[in-house]
Amino acid sequence: MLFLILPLGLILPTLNGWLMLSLLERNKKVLFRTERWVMGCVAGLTFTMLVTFAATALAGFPLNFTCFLSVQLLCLIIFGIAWVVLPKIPSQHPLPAPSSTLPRWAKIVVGILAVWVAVKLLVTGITFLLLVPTYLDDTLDNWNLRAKVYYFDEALTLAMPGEDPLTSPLGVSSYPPTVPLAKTWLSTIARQWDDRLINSIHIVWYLGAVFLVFFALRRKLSLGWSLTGTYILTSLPLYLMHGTNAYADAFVSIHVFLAASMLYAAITADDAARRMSFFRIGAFMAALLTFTKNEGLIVYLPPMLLILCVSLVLLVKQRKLSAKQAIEVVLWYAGLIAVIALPWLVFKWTNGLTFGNAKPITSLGFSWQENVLQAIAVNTFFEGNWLFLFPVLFGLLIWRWRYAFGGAAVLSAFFLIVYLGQGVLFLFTALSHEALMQTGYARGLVQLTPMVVLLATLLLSEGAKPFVRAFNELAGKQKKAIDELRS
Amino acid sequence: MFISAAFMLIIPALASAEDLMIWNFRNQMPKPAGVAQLTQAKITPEGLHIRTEQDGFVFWDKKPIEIDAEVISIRARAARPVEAMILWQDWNATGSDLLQMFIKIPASESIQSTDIDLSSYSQWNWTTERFAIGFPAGTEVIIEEISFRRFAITEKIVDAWKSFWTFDEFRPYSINFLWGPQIATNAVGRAKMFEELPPSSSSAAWIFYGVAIIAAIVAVAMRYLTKDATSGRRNGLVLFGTTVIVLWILFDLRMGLELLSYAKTDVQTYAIKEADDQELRTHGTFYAIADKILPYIQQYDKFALFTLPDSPFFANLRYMAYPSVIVREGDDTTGVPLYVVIEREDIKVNEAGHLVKGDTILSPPGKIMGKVSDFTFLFLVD
Repeated sequence: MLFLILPLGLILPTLNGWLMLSLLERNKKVLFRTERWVMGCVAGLTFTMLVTFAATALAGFPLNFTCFLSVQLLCLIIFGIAWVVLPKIPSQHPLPAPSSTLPRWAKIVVGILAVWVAVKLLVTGITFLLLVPTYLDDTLDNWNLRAKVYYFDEALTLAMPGEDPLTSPLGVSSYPPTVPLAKTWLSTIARQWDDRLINSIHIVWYLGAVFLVFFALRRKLSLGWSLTGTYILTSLPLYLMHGTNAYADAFVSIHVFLAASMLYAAITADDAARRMSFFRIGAFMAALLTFTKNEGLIVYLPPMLLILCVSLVLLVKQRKLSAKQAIEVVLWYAGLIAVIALPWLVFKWTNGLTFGNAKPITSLGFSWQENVLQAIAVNTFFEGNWLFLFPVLFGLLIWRWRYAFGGAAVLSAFFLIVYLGQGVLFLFTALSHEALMQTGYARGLVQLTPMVVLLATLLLSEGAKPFVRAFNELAGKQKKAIDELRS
Repeated sequence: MFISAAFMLIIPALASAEDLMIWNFRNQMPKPAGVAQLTQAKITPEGLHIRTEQDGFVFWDKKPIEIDAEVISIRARAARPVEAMILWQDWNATGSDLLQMFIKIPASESIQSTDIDLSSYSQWNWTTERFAIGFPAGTEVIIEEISFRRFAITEKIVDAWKSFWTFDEFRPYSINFLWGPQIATNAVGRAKMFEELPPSSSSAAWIFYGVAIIAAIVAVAMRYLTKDATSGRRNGLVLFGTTVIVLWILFDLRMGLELLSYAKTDVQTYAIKEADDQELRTHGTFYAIADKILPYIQQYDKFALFTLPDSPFFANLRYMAYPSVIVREGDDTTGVPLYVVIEREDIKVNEAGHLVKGDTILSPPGKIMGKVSDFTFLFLVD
């Protein structure tokens, strides 16, 4: 019975998310049918938690089941009415990129790998999330603790138990409360606190990332390459650890991925209407970033906006976008970011919360930090975290630089700005211990993982063209030889 | 036929390359060349008996180690644990400067073996002119035997293969990084691979990169050395691409099995165990204790926790007990009705019924209401 609470708790946020995405797409559908539902689940949950937060923090409603449900129903009514009332021109769902049927051997390989991935996910997910108690530090001190405090206090309590009421809010309470609120929501439905229930939500975010990476790839690449990219993501051990343990970085990663991939889809779209649909969804996803973790606002949003501005100028110059449309895009981004970020920022300022990663960013200093470069190299290339993702990515960024900084420039630029920017922080500030202890550095990569997999697969599909051609030639030659022998 | 014959000849030759050199002090061999500052270093029928009231060492001279040893095993008995060290001269050493490596001889009533893996320590020099073992003040130990081992290449390959498939355990750091496959070339290094952080063994990623680079070189060679350039290029690309794919899947298999092994251990030690026998990862029996004390704690609005500073109890109990609010040791405990004492040998109840640490009174009078062990109990204020 308890496990019905999870799907039950996701129904209303998903419906809200689906309606919002449909409204943003307006008359030009750009998302695949299933993609819209999955994305709706992720974005709808985050957005409705934001509204719940605003209702509690700014309007003073108690944080209980009635408040959560009222917000969900209110959003549903508003978006539902808008969806019914706004004029609709019939629009077909987009078609996936052309793809030939997979050969038999490829189907067998896909089948074997799918079973392997499913076994890994089921066994680790069930064991780590459902069969053992909450174990990891940040889960105990932050994500689950805050959710439990909210649940029992029916309020957005900032001072954590056993801590100084004056200094405690400067710690974990400075993180956006989205993940804890989602857990509180599930607990209010269940009318009890159960670790298994509130930890199970994390697998939803992991699966969301897996499906959404597949759909983002399918927009551009064949079925084979889309499955390859999806396999790459599911094969990454540290990302699987984050998907099957109650940490918030996989949750952040899916939002980073959606904001970046929608921007990429907009810029590479083949007609203006599709482009505008993607831009509107991208604006919504970029705005939601501000309500994930502090990194969303300080690390990911600024480079995304920079890339957006440069891209808009180029698109206008290339006459792919009119000046009026460019201004409309800017207004969508500015408007949604203002509306979505404002409640949380106002709350932060009024309560004196910090803007760093649970530490004030002004207290970090600036000087060269010893051994950080080595720690970064070891984590990225010589441990079991990422298999060969990063050597492959860096190799492809160099080998296929023309495509990396041409067709896939949005993703490459975003990755490099964020990665190098974080690198500077680790190499030159007191945040160096986050790299030396392999904590913050690895989490930063986890947050980028789905986006990196999208970029790497796009580059791989370009880079592997000669290999695929050679492989097909060889296979054809061998088949011919076998046929000749048979005859 | 020829290859089989060659293997038949080579394998025994390689296998016999293992060497073992034993210093058996019960047989009085070899006698130390000297001692420095030790109170006593005497060869007895039981072995080399070391006793010292100040830091010192016993040494052997004239290149005493005769084989390229990778593992040193010290068979010894000590009433209390000994933080000893082995000392030797660097490869280019001149003068009396010595390199050192710390070793722990455990306390035991019978002879125990302490194994030291030196294979991954580049500064280890078996040709050292002087080899010494240092002991801190207060040491009393009997060393029965020291053995030096070198392993055959076949043994090294087998151990490297086994070490590749040796997994770490789920630890608090596993959410931030996973060491991944390591290569140790002997059983001692393999057994201790994830005990030391960072592991002293080498990352298997070096081998993966090596194989990929060799495949790339062969692919380039096929492109330029094959008469039919098109066919050479094609075969080279297929070779390189297939190598990378196979390596990726192998790496995935290795890491996937490691994560599955974490889950298997969790199920075996926690999920299917009775509540009293449950142990989880680095926290041992914490959850079994927590299950017993939580029903009492949750009867009160707040409780004070006295536990060891590094224990996981604070974070866990704070979370598990809420809405009962935790009060830390040292914070104001006025009005706190319940005290939870966990693994604190220094906290007791005095005759007046107060909880005390030495002479410091920690609580109003009360009584122990639930006792898990002598040092773990609940204390309820009257």
